[in-house]
Amino acid sequence: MSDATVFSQSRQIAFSTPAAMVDLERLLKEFLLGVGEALSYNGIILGHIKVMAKIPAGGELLFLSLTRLDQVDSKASPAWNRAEDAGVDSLELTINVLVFGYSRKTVETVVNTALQRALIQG
Amino acid sequence: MHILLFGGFLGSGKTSVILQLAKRITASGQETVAIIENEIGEDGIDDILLSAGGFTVKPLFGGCVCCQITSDLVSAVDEISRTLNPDWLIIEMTGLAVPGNVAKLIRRYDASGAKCKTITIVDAGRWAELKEVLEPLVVSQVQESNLIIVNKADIAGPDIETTIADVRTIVGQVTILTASAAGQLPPELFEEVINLE
Repeated sequence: MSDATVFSQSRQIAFSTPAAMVDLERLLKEFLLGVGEALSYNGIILGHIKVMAKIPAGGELLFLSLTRLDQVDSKASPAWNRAEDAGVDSLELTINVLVFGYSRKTVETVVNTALQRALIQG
Repeated sequence: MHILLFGGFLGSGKTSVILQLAKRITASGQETVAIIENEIGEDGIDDILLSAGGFTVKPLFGGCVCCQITSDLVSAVDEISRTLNPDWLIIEMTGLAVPGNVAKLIRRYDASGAKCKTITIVDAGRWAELKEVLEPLVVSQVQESNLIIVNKADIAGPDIETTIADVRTIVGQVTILTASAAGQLPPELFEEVINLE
């Protein structure tokens, strides 16, 4: 198999109505799984898909990682408060995909489609 | 200064193990840790995760220290040795690096004379599939390691015994430990990692 495809992207997402932290976390996991489903092999990723979400206002961080479709790993900075009521109106995303078997163009299309479905249209 | 080199395929759990290890080493306040984080992408994620844990992290982006930016690694080790001189320097390689090759590089060029140990993390949940498709890479990653940690034991199921047996055929008598870095790692694992004898 040829070399791994490396895809890195940073995006700013603005929400028309503020999203609750729990909903935001669910949408981010949907996004990750959306990318993973399109790039998987027998239910696993031949590489990894990582996302870091930062809330600009407070600097809270959420780290998500996917290596298999049945499990999304997540770690949060201490300030990431799932019970936060005020809602989040914008988000900075860093997306890193390293995967074997897919072209950079394919990965880029998959990421943009999953972003659109999970975080932009929603 | 002692050097711990962590390798293993993409997403095998290197950062999770390192986070717990660094917290364990520094918990008593007696010893210090610095971390070199090598990521291939242009935008780092794991370096920020480790920094958020309160550790001094030197990021190396834009390529793999194994084959593309080797001189950057040698320079970073030298700089950290001269400026911070921590008790432990932990190096997280990219998931595409061959740990044995990086260890040779450090032993050849590191002027500090630090002892260097290579630890490779194996993803028990994906070993069979990764070996099926990427055998030369994943086999080379476990070869010439001083310690193997078969991680993600919590999700591997009964196949973990097959994985351990397969890895054993590659590494011979090298110690193989099982772990689940998603939870709390046991003290015995940390002791084995920092045992340089």
